[in-house]
Amino acid sequence: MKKFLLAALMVIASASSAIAYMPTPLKDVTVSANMSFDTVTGIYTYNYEIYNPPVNTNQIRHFEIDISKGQGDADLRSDGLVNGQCYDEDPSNYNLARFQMVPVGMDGPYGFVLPSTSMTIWGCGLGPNGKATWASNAESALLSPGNSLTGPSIKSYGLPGIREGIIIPYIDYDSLPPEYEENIELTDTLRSSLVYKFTTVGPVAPPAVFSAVGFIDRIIALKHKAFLLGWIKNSGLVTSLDAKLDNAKKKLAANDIKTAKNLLAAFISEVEAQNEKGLAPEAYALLKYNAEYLLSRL
Amino acid sequence: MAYILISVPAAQGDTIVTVGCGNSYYNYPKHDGTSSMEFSTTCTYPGSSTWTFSGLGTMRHSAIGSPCNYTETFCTCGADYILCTCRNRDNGCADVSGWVKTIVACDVAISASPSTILPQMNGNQPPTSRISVVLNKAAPAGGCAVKLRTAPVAGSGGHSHYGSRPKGSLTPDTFSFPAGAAGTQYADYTSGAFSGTEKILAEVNDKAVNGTTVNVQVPGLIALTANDQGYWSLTGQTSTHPNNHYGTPATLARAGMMAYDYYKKTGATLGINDMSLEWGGLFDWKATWASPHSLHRKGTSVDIDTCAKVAASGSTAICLNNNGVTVNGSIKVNKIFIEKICNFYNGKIAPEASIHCEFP
Repeated sequence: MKKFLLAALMVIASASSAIAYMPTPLKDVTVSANMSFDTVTGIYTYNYEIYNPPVNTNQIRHFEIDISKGQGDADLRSDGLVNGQCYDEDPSNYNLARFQMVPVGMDGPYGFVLPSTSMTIWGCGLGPNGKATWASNAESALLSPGNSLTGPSIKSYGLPGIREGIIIPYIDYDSLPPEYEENIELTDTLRSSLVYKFTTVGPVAPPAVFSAVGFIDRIIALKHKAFLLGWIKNSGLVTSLDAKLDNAKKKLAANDIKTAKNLLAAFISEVEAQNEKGLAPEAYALLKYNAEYLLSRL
Repeated sequence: MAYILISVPAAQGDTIVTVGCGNSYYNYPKHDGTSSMEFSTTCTYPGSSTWTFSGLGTMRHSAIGSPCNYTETFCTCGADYILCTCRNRDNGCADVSGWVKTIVACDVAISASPSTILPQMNGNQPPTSRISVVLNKAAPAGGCAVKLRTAPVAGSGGHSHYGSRPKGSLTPDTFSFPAGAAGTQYADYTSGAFSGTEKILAEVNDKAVNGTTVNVQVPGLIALTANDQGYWSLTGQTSTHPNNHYGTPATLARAGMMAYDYYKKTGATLGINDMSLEWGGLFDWKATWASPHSLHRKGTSVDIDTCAKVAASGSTAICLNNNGVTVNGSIKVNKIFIEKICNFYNGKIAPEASIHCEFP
């Protein structure tokens, strides 16, 4: 009986060793954003937390958030935007010279790969195509399932806007099946299939040419998208916010600035009251800071 | 004035390309005021053959009864004519010369446009060059039959190895111009996967004539040179592919910056291994005229050794490279860090025994 069990185990072991490594797509990763505003410096801080749920088998190696600057957007200041030790200056400068981006200062998870080196556990910097990018510098720092990564942050004069991002898992290229060897197309297809896309809040430059009515339309659009993304948790709150924004818009159109300001102030009060209740931090930041910006320009 | 009229039949397919012409004979003046001229001249033809003209001409002097007694005949071969001159050696007698014969031959010219094309790449439309077969003058009786074939130039394209080198193809490779016809016919030359110079050899009526060449090449690749500050070293050169560090200018810049970033963080020197050959194309690093490098064709691939040399002298670090060889004074390269920098410079990792970063 013992011999039979041993033989069976050997068969199972050899069968499992024959199964080729093939990473699976990331699922249900959450990216939480928290924003704050320094009224003295005028700088917004965006803090991100990435959670890799246990349902995944892959570790997370890399994530990035779009910070590209759109046509017609204002040129923002960069003074006072300090980068942390994670910042890879040379490649960032390389990309900054090639892609239009909202100026940012970046920081990342704290810690060093080895105490004797300056290599932080995660690097950060400006990637190709206008992306704020964070990537692990060591296998030991990969974000494993069931764990969160805190520390990535952006500082910017850019207002909170809705931004797209992607998360890329770790791929052990050495263990992929032989058909991937030097096959960039196949490897790219695999990489693309593993990428997790997300939407978050990140810095956006306001329009270069300011229009109060145009800007309130922008806030209305942000509110609508925030609702669709689940950052506004009930439709009753949407209706209430809509009413204030619509009235403010009418008053602005009628050049009744004083009433419009009162309505915007009421809107901001409601947003503040709903923070972490009916509004997720993302919706709170989008609505509050954009409304405050509008108010400051009236 | 007097002219020499000689009929010299031209052989079909003959085209004179050079011209060594040469022999001369004395004339034989006669009492009736004419001189008969014997001559023989030899012209050199493609394919090392020669063609000797000989004939007998008659020269009539303008002043009957006062022949020039001492004349010589010189004949010159041109591209498509023979000109003979009667040179008078007697005082007071003028030289005379005359048109003798226009050579009737298959005057074929071969050219390629463009003369430089890309090598065939994975999945891309095969690059072609249009080969023109031009018959400049009406074909003689019997017509002109032209055959083309390709012949790679040994040692070209960065391959210092021999054997059965794959070559490009010609479609069609035979052409026929009937008697009296002239004009242009075309072939398509399609490059193979390997870069280098290919001769397009031509035969007209089974005699070799001048062909043309096509360079199969990824243009604009330049060599990454060694870095004397220790940011990178060049590795992977072999006797069969001694120059393995060619790339596009953008790739060279990115490779250098990657190595610099790595050096700044670790103090170790990256070994930059195979990139592309000087003209790109398939890089058969085993010198077998076949893959294994399926990338490395267009100057956008950079292989990085898995061990990096530590700058500090006397380092006791030891690294086992991807060939299972122990490398003293070296550390294992952090692949995740390399992937990050590769990504930062818009590159992507492809699986390979070394660390392969592919740039756009």
